Amino acid sequence: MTTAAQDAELLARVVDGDHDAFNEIMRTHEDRVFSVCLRIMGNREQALDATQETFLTTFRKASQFKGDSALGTWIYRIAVNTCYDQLRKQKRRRTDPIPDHIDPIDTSAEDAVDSAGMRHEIRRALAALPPDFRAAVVLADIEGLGLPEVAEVLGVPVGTVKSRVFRGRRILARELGNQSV
Amino acid sequence: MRDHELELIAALAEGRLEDESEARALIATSAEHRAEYEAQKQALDALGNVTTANLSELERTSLHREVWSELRSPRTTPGPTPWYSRWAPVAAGMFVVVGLVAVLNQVGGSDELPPVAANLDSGTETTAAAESSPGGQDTADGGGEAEAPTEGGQSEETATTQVAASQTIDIEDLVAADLNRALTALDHTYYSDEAESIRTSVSADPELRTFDENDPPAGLTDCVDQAGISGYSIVGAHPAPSDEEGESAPEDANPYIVVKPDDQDLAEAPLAFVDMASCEVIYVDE
Repeated sequence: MTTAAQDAELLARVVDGDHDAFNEIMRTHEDRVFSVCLRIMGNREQALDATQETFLTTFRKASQFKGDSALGTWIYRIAVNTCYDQLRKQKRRRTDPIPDHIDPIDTSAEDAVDSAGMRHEIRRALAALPPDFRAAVVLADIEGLGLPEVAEVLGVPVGTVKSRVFRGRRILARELGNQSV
Repeated sequence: MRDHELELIAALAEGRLEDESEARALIATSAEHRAEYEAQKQALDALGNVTTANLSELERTSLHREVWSELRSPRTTPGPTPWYSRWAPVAAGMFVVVGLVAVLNQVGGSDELPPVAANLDSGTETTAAAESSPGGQDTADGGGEAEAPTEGGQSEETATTQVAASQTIDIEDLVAADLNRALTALDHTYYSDEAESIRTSVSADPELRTFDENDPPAGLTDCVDQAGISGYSIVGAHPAPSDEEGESAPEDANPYIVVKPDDQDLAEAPLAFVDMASCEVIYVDE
């Protein structure tokens, strides 16, 4: 059975109410979805929220998956758009309400960020990129997706992805102290 | 710097060129190209040190707990959206048509429709359609959308529309009106956020003028002309907003064209969006 057929069957099982099928989808994609969300949102707590929302949307829209792209690409697309949506909300929101539930501080998670080499200045430079550019750079240069796949995830032509990635890198270099561009 | 030069330099920085001679020659002869190469290389080196992040076990547990807790709530089901959600735009469209027909009847047998045009200069005016149709407040907030009568007798027509439309409303129309009002508010949020996002991108990179580097196709130019707006130029085009763009993405919306006033910088310009299917202005920045 091809990957596309397996994806379609897995989602058909989700629509039929098979919880194991949805758990399988989550297990397969949760780390990479979280990674993309973390690089775009720049904060583990917000990335976790975005990851959660991504999988809820995946579940709700399972019946709408047409199989035009790989399941992973489709889920990335939902993840990126969820992040955009949350960034927009953040911008509108002046104050955050106090959450009704706070998980204990997970120091191993902070260590994971450090061990991943996400230095403070890189995080700050990424945060300085406009969200469209940041998503393109994260997907292409950190997650290692090919430009056609990034285009599919972002729903824009490959030429637009190239423009965002190359110009995004230029801005990133400027933020990292390169004044010659 | 031309696009293909930038692409060549980026490819050199990524180390994926089999024959580097052309790219090397380019950066050897121009300080600008050399600086671009250094910038691409610097960014790639920095990003190359960033690896994919994994969830910690605590986060993984929390994620599964929260997702399943939400999914077990009765309102979450995988499947199509409710029927009223899908039919709301149709019901709203019929509501407007019924109102328009009523106006034509009141006009008294005239064979001509009232003139319809987008008037960008009267952004704060409330149009007849906006006054009478659901979501009218949001339409007015969006500023100067289509369906604004451009000739005299506007207030009389407005009153006529209101009366005529109110005579045809039944309970189903009221439900549709409520849905449409909510939908329009979200649409307004979506489009204003899009406009802001475009301006932000341009502020960060002034060289970015269009989404695609090509000249706008004639079809887009014709569509903008048909929308009746002059003094605006095409910035780019956006595909149909999809469900996956988030909660505020309009449902069943068409692709749209982004335009800006000719005499203003894109980074600060109030933008307007033109529906690519109907060629009507759907949003104007205040």
